[in-house]
Amino acid sequence: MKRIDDSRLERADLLIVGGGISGLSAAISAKEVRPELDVLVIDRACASKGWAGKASRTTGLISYVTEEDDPEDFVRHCVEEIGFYLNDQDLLRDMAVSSRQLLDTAAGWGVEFLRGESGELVYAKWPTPWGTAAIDPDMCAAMAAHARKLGVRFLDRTALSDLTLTGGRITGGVGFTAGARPIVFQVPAVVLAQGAQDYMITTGWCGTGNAIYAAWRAGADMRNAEFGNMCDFARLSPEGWIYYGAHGGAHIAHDHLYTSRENISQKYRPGFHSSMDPTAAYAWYAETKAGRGPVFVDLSDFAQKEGVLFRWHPTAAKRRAVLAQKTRPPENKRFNVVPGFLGEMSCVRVGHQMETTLPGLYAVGDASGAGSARGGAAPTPPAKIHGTGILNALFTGIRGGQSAARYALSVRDSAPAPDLEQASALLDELYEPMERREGLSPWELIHRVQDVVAPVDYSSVKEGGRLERALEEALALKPETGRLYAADAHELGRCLDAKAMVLCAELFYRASLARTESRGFHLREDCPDRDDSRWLKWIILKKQGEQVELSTQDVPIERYRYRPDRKEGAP
Amino acid sequence: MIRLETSSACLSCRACVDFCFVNAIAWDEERGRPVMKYGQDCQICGVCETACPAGALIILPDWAGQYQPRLLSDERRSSHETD
Repeated sequence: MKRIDDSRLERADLLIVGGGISGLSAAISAKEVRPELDVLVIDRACASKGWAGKASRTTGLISYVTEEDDPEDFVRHCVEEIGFYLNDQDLLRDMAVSSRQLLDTAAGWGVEFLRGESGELVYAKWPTPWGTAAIDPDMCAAMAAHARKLGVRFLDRTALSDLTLTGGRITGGVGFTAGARPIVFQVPAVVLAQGAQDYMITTGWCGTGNAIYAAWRAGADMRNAEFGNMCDFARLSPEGWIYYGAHGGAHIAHDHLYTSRENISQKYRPGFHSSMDPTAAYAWYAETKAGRGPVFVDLSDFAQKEGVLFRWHPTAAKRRAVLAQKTRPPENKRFNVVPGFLGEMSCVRVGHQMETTLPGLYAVGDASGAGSARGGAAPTPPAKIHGTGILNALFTGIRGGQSAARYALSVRDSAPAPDLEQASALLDELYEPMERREGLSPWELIHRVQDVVAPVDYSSVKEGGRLERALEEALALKPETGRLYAADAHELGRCLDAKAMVLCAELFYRASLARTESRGFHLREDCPDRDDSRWLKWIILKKQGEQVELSTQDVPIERYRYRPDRKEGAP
Repeated sequence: MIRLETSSACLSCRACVDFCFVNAIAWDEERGRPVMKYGQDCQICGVCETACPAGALIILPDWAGQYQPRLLSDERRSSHETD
């Protein structure tokens, strides 16, 4: 029997895929502007109670333009110091100007912030044009409750794998439920909100690129795929175990890296910096290759700073205490660190209303963080500003939810039903791993992809020859997706993740090879300079049959306030 | 392998299953207890522990057994590639 004969049909006016902060923001905002719409949120976790997405696993930081800051200073900083003129400066300005309001909006949905005695927001002020407030990491629980009150429907433990289209317009999609039952969605508009691609290397950062996979296969454009290479540091235990994630206690190690000879953070990147930067990965790489390792951090350095720069909501403080128990505390204040790859690839291309290049398809939050071009030559937030991930999720979720709702209402009476033949073929392909009893487990393939993207000299410190090798290794994994097997819905989900990872690795390396310069998070040893004469361009990737078509689009720099003051310079 | 242990205080409320955002925890109907079914996916976030109303659950990571991808491209290839 064909899978579709056994499928469940689910109709709605607007489907939100992913119930984390951006997805819930979209759902709430859609209902607020168009209450008559039937809005459905699906998630592989338990989104109806607010336990989906990465939010509750974060440390609860939200950075924004405070009353002490000028939004224009924030825009200038983001263009000149982080995005290096690849930013969509209009969209960036919109976020800067509305950032304080976004916090009030979230508070109106029941989200708690750390406040002072008179109810004022408590925030840590950076020497840069923003501050960092403390937010309840359980914010999605409040948001989900608010969404339910507005009439948003939820389907927990349910996944979308592919989208269906008729005449280039979204008609719905296919996926599976907790019991591995096939499901067909009939919806005229979809908001993708499943997060970025993190390849599941560093704990907590576990986006698996499902939005990129679905959007790509449907034919949507990608942009800024070469910047999907965020890299943190992780603590190395004396036995050689790597404490990936917050457990490493090395999250702001970037400014405090040492060898036995010197402070290499200051050597390679002098001055104070707010957060992660590929220069730190480069420092680790260059010193290690030169035989001057190991590279270590000194806790006494940043423990002191951390208290000044971060404050915590009580729930976040409690979670941090639990996390700290999960590793053996370092015996000394000095401990060795290694790069901990995060990725944060987020290349679904969207415009100012979070619309993709396919009518009816929207992408918000980490799914389109780089694809929106707001951040420029950087991965999805936080990129170089701690706490802007949540701000971005609120900003883009609200925008995308509102515009998707307007679109859905305008087309819902004329929207075609999904083409059943198309849906049937997609379901059959999705379920192939469940027909196999042997081959590759999804985790085996995931580990192979991790080995392609994690090497710091492939993904953080790039070079033409190495990129060619990395791409070759990524392409060699494509046929392996045809050997995946799964026994249940969970494993089927991981097969989907593994396929998305293979695709993302390919797109990342193709775009990285094309950009023959260094800019922001894209650092090439063989093209070390920023080349504004040739590369004030976005790289656009598009699916053409089974091929990847690569093109460029000029950044409309003449329209923008901030322009490079010289034609060539250091990244 | 990463482990999940419960004490006799477990209320069998299944909150830990709902709280797990990567579905690593499943419910053992026979024992009426949670089990770590997909340890590879556990993010060691500890939320299940803090969410347990009885404080009956603990996650014991296995850092030594965690898969560690290559840090440099010329490092030894992992076992699956040398087979």
